[in-house]
Parts: sequence; structure tokens; C-alpha cells
Amino acid sequence: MVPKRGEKWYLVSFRKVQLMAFTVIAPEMLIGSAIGEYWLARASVRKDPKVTSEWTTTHGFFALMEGFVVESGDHFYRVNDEGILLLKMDRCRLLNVTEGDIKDRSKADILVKATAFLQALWLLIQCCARAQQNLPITPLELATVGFVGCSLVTYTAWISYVSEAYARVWFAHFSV
Amino acid sequence: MSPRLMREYGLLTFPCSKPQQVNKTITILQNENNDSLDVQSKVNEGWMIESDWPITNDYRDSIVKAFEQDGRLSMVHYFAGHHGYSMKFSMAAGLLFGSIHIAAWNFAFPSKAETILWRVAAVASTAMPATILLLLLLPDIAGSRFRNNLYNVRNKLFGRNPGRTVTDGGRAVGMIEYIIAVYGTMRFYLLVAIFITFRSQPANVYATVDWSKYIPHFG
Repeated sequence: MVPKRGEKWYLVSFRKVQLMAFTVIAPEMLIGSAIGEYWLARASVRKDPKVTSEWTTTHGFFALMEGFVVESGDHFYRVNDEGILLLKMDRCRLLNVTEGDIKDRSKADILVKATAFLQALWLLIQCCARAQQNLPITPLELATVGFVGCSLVTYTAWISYVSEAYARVWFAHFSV
Repeated sequence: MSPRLMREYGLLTFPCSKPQQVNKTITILQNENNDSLDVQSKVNEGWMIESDWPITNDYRDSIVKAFEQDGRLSMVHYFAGHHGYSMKFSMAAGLLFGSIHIAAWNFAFPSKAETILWRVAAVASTAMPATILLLLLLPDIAGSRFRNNLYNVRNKLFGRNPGRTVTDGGRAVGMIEYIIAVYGTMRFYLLVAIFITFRSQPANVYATVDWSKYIPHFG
């Protein structure tokens, strides 16, 4: 979730710690949240192709994270894709945000995650081999396999396909 | 260039769709006029469309209130039934995650009591999501004779009945809160048990797999 404007750093950190604790205690509950987010993000692409000239799943995710803001007077409102569509129908002139603009704010550390993935794969192979050679497995190893499985599904939902809207622009450009 | 190839190429260029660790919002509209109420109602309306569950007046009010107080919704709205599918997936995942812990049924625990505690916690943390998953799925597939009864049970569980649905900040209050508390305790015990089990383990645990020392690895 995107922090509030001027939100104190310790409140932001506290929320991150909260989420971390949640992930440690119940990582499987985040799966549903991630899949739900993915679904809503994809549905938003299929639903409103005319929101902006380019509306991708990244836009959908960003709207769900409450990243789009409408300023009115001295109020800030987080707006989602439906709200944007309603404002558009009301002939409001909205800022055109490209996928690059959003990605620019994203701090995805793919290298770190790829390393973690390789380590997890190694753990999984080890566990299988141990079971095969009749060596005991500790609860820690077993639970880690579970944790890894959960985060794998969560990240797969987040790392989704390029949206159809984006592809459509390309087809018009290339396929003739 | 074929569409499929282009799609794959696109996958390579944009590997991650969900923005991570974003710290700043993007302002897409600055409205200097005084019709702020109109903008506000459009924004609120937008958040209310996005649901596959029946939206009660309480839920509507809570969204409006959350926007007035905090200027945003809390993350909890995914778990408050805002998106019904996500709940089902979470429960199915909980079922699988719990069964992994049940797989440790016959592992060597330091004491008899710890063995029993592990088994109880593992079974309970599997049974709870399993029950909720059943409650979520059954009303849709059950015959019309039972459907209303099942809906009533479900509503009681998630606090969908008017007056108890949602209190402030978009949080659902119902029996589910107690279930979450028990579930969290079970999960927490399993987590603690994982580490205290290490104080006494069979020597074989420290033996490495035959071939793994020949492969360079870290971790």
C-alpha cells in the first residue's frame, strides 16, 4: 500500500513490520490477497480500455494499491479504476500516466528474488534427496518448503503477463 | 513478428507487473473548483462497484468513513469479503500449508508433550481453513433446501448481518475475529516449536545427502 502524503516514517515502517509479522505467521493468507489483486487488476484491463490511452495490469495493480490520487480542494482521495472511469465520463481531464511512470516508482529487486528462488530450489532438492535416502528432515526444513511454496504463488500472481491492452497497441503497429 | 513472439518479448521486457515498495502517489486530477463533494462521491462509488459480494449499507458507510478519516481504505478489505474469490484461495492455501505441517506427524520431537502439541496445532490450523472453505463453497452447490440455512451460518461467521457487519475503518467484526485469534495462536506455536525442536534431534539430521557435497552450492 502506498503511504499517505507526509506520513511519518515510523508509521510507514511500523506498517511494514506488521505486514512482515503477518507474512511469517500466516503466509498462506497472502496468497488469496495476491490472486484477488491479480484478478481485479486484469479485470480492470478488460473492463475499461478507454480509461487512458494505455491502461495495463500495472495500472490496475497501482490503482488497487491506492496509488492514484485525486486532489480536490485540500482533500486527497485514493481513486480506483472504476472511479477514474466515472470521472472520465464526467469529462474530467485526467493526467495520462504511462506504465513507465509507475514502474519508475517501483523498487523490485529481481536479482535478490532470483537468488532466493535458487536457494529455495536447492532446499527442495535436498529435502527430496533426504527423504529418498531415509535421512530425517527437521520441522524447520519442512516448514520452509511450505513458506517457499506460499511466497512462490504470491510472486507468480504479482509477476503477471503483459496486459492485453498493451499487446493490442503493438498488434496495430506490427502485424500489417 | 507473430503475436505470440511479441507477447514473449513483452514478458522479457516487463517481467514484474505489480509495482513494489512504492512510496509516492501519483496525482491524476487537481480540482480547484468547489464541487469537491461530487468528486468525492465519484471516488467512493468507484470503490463500491468492485465487489462480487452483496454490499450492505453498513459497508458503504464504512467506506465513506474510512475515506473521511484516513483518506484511504485499509488493507483488511481483502479479507473482509471485498473480493470473495481471494478468501476461497486463502483458505485452500491454508489447507495445503496446514497439511505440510501434518506431514511432520511422526518426526522426532524432544518430548511426548511437544509431539502432541505439534499434532494438535497442525490439525487445528488445517481444519479451520478447511471448514471456512466448505462454508464458502457449500451454499453455491447445495440444494435449495439447505441453501438458506448455510447462508445464515456463513453470515453469522463473517458478521454480515446488519449492525454487526462493519465497524470503523472497513474492518469486519464477527465470529471470524475469534477464529483468527485461535488460528494465529496455533500458527505461532508451530513457529516456536520449529525452533525449540532443535535442542534435541537425532544425529542423522546433521548427516548430509550423499551427493550434495560434490555440487558447489550456497545456502
